[in-house]
Amino acid sequence: MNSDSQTEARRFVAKAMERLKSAAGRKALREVNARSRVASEPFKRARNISSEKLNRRFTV
Amino acid sequence: MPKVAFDVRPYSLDTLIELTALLSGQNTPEEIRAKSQPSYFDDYFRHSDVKTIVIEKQYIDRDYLEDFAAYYVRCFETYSRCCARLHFFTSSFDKRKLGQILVRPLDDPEMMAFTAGYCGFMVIKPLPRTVFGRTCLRTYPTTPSRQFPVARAFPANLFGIPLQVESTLPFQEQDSVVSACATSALWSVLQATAREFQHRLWAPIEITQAATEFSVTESRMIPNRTGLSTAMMADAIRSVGLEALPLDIEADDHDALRAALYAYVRARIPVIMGVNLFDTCVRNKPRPIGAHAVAITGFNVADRRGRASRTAFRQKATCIDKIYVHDDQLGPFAKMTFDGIPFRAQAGTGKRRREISVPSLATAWPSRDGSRRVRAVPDLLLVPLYHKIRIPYDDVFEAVIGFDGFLKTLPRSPEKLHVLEWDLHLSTVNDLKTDLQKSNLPAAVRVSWLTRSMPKFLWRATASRNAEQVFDILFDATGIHTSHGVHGVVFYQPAIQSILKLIAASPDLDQIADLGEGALRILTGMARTQ
Repeated sequence: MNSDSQTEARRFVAKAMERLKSAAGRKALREVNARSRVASEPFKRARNISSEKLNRRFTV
Repeated sequence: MPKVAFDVRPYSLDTLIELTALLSGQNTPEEIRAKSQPSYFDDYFRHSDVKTIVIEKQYIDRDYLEDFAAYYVRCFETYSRCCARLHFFTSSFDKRKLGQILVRPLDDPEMMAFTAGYCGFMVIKPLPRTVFGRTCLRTYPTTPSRQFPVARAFPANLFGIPLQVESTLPFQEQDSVVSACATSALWSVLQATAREFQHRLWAPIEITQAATEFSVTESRMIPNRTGLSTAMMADAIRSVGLEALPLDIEADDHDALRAALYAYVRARIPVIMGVNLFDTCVRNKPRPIGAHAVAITGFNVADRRGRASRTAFRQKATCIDKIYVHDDQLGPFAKMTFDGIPFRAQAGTGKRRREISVPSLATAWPSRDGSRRVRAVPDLLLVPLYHKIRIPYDDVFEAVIGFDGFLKTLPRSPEKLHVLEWDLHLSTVNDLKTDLQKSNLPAAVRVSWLTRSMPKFLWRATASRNAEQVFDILFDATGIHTSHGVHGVVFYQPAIQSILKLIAASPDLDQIADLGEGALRILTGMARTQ
């Protein structure tokens, strides 16, 4: 990567870090974290299969 | 004079039915025609342009022989221990021509044309009604969107001629004696896992016995008329040395179903899906048929960007619009479609009775009125796993969706890190390295990855932008859940590598109080790996 691109990348990262440390950035992080936790719930619940389902027979 | 051991007939549905009835020795053509499988097979054979059937009249099938030795031999009625086998070809020839081909050298052009036209075989069992034994037919053609990861080449031999079914997974219908639908689905699944994980192959009766050996049941299990439960199927999976992972599927969450089945089937692990079947040919009065088990062998990913969920997380798996299953009441590679059409059903009783809309999949099952309006409501998945695959899908999903959310909070840039699409699935190290070997990574970087020691199984989260690979996050699937688990990150785009590595190494990261666990885990992994 050339030095101009590296400089651009550093500027972007510095700007990103400043935004994330700001109140607006932290609020945005809290919101995505909450939505991510909600989206993960079905997969976590999937591993807790009820004994009723475990014992139901496939009869067809 | 030796008995004639074979025959050759041009293909037609009537011929298939007639031969099946005749060779089983236990059924009339009308009884065979009334089954659901012949018309399914006919659709397949016409689609594959099958023209000729070769009949092998006396065939010893290993699985049927085990069932015969354990059950049928003790019946008062005499059942044969020999099956018949039908072979299907896309080329046209007659018996005289086959006799000439049989004695040609293997590299003779006529012989090579003959073997190239081989579609597969079907064993006909000498039983009343349940006649379709081991059936190996090649899959529908694969495309970038239609994949059968579980299918493999399967060898066959016809009178000394080595043949090969290019891409298949064995199928058979339940015999309703030693096996019901669950045993048949398990039998197909274990045919695939035996190749992947090197365990012994069970015949259907052995599966039913292994499934019920330690169960306290209220009725006898052989004859198997009450089917198997998920717990019993899990016992059968454990009996061959694998781990059984049951996953409860919520009826209205098809995205979770798609994501979970894709994650494992993409890694060549067939998954058993439990469904509840309903015949909806009478409007607003769905008739329950019962709980059925099928083996998922492939999928079709529609050509569109992964639909964003409530979190705006775009995942390739959510574009799956069809799955292909071994359904013992239909045939191999039967299609189930996510057509988005719910059906109306009544729920609750008394004052709580209400009409609900039930998401479901379309199937090829015939309805009572002859139409095809039987719908399947998925209920659960059962995944057979090699014991070293320890880290579950939800663990990796949570990290990746957390990281994707973090990327969406960054300022907008030309690299467009906020619109990535994710492909999250299990992989072996060999499959990963085969992909890396073919990639456009710089030679030195490729050599570094190819020669690196890596876990046998990995979770691979591929981020793409406009169908171009951006980076792969690799999680050690054999690790322990308390570690960060990120084995490494493969970057395909230098600009994005530069940005993410700078973020991962930034001393300001510690000062970001609300950084989610998923993002932190992946950024830590990026900082640690070279």
